[in-house]
Amino acid sequence: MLFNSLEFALFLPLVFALYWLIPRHFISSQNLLILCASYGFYAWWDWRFLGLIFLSSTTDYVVGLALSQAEKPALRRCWLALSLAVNLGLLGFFKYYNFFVDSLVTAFHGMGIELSPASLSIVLPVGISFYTFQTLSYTLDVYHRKLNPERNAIAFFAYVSFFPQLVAGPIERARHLLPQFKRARQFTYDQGREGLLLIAQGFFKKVVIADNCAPYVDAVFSNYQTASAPTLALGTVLFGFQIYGDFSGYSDMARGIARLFGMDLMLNFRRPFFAQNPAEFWNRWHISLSSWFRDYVYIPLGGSRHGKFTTYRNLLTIFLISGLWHGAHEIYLLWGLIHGINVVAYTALRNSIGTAYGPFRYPAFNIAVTYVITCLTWIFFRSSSIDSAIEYLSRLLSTSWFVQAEPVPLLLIYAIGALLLYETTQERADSALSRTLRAPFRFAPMRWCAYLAIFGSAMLGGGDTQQFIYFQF
Amino acid sequence: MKKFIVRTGLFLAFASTLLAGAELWVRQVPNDYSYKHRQLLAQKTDTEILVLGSSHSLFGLNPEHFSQKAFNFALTSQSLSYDRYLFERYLPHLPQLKAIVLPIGFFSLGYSLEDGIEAWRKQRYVHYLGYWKELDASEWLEFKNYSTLYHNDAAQMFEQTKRYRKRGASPLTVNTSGWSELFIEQTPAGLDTSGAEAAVRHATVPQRSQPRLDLLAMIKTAKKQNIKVLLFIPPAWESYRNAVDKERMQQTRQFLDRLARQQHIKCIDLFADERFVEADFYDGDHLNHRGAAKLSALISEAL
Repeated sequence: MLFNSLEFALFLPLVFALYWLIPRHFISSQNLLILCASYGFYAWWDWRFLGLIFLSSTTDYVVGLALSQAEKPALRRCWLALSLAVNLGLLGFFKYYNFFVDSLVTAFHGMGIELSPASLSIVLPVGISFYTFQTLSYTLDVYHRKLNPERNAIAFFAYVSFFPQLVAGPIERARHLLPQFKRARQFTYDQGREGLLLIAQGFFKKVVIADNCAPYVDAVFSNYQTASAPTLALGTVLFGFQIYGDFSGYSDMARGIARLFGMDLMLNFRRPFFAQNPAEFWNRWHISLSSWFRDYVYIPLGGSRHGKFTTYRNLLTIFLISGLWHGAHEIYLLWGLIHGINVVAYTALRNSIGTAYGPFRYPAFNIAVTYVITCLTWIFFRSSSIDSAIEYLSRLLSTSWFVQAEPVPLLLIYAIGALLLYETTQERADSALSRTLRAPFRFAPMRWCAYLAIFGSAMLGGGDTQQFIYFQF
Repeated sequence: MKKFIVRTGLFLAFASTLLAGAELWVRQVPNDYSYKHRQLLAQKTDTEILVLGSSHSLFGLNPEHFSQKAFNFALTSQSLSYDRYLFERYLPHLPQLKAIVLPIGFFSLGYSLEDGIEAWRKQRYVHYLGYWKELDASEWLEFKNYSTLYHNDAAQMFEQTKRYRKRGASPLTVNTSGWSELFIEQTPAGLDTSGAEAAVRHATVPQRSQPRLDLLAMIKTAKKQNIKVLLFIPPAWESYRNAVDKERMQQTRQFLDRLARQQHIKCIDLFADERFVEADFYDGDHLNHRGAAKLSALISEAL
């Protein structure tokens, strides 16, 4: 059930109405409704994988309770190991089994040994990477005594499976979301309005931006051998907007829907195109995953506390794992490695020149350089193999730039322009330009016209409905 | 909560009304689908031959060159499942129907309209040809099945509707017998380029069993009603012929031969027919007016 589908347009009001019909002090009943709705939402994709969420949730619920009673460090480590084994075992099997088997066969083939292991036709359960990390954050926090174990099973299960963010995040921390299931929720007009605006914003990003970029990007990446350099460059830039529109659009919708239920989800994207350096980009892009890796991998590895070499090693490690998290393919590993090198190089440069932002004096230069580097790395993310990515890149750099690019639909250019203008007003909220642009919307009729324009463009200006890109992860 | 529900409801009602109004407004412009439906029903009492199929027969079979009264209900990218639907839908309305004519091209036995860039056409069948009754329960909730504006450039549609309202300018591409007169001479792209490109495009169509089942079902229904079925492999220019997968083409031929023998129907292979020369083609795999006249006469004779 996609957020931008008619079935969800029926599902959401129904669950919303039932939820608020329950008196607000009946917290468990509301949680139970959310749990049932979330399982129903997931079953709409594929009911066969409901068992996996249930197994993950049950394991971490039981491990959490056991950790609260275990005092001996060895025993605590055993319980933690059980949780890691079950969660990462499921993730590893469903997501990485064939990748590792194929890699092993290739490695042995290189040594002259032929292996013929059983390869399985495994379907990837949607959202498994997201909810696995979410539930793991709970166990890790309980293990590190940063969080008290949750005794209310319904609240815990609802936290793991909360439908707005179940299949594509944001990857919520138990410390942030779980307490919200324990307290009474109250609906306010402002909160509802904010929720709907976030949904509209996400809808616009997904349907108007991402879905309209998709045909151009698909055409360029499937015919890159014959495309001109400007077309290849445009294809890369549009893919940047596509993936941003797609993923941040989903996150906006998730946050908006959660807001309608009186819940607050963390911000997942903070205008990443305005980043002035690679490290800042990762503080603005997929924040819930970046901060997850920072808290549960980077810092436990030593973070930046043990000298430059350890810092660089730790940075590279989290980017490699992040690449692998995205998919069981060597191209994602390479993509992660490139970002890791990029961040390490920037960190080294920053340490030597001692500036907090980019290497240039003017922020616009820093933004432009960061943007171009990020765009180039998208080529690896989007290409089907390392060879094709390298060929794409070499054609981009070696063929003539003095030819016309394939035209981009005018509607898409307007839509991207509108998005960038909107984000500029958000980024520089106090600037004169932002104040001028926002001024007309103080009047209700202007606001309604803007809402109608967003509604109309989302309903009529969308391309063919595309699956959310991050569902495959 | 009350304020939120009232305001949201008001907004949605207002926006939906605007949207529905715009949809109804653009739908008043006639199109090939609605026009063919109306024309066939207007000619139902004397139509003896029904031409179905995709662009090969839409442009390639001109009913005026048939010796019997014919109607062309071929539509661009129409796959065999839609041929079957149209045949079964209009059969009760055509008391004089004696034969149906169907082209089976290189890709017809694997092609499904729902795949690829032509999938938007499905909504036309739903709106104008009663296909909504055939939708699965899972498709009932798909917004795209109900909106013309969703599939097209809204600004262009509004412009088209304004032109139609002001000057009666119609976007129809077919005449009263259902034949499309668009392909007059030859495409500027040339036969060599267009043929090779079409072959590459058609090679991506996968093999499927459903189109064969649809074809067989049509033949059975036709036989029950004593209606002749004529299948033909449409003529193609050498650039197209040279570029298609020979093995797959051979499989199509073998299937049609077998079908013709088992079902006692006629099947004509015109794929490399030398009677069709360069001047008969619009592009690598479509005929122009001259070629359409030639093909129509041949099919009429075969019937």
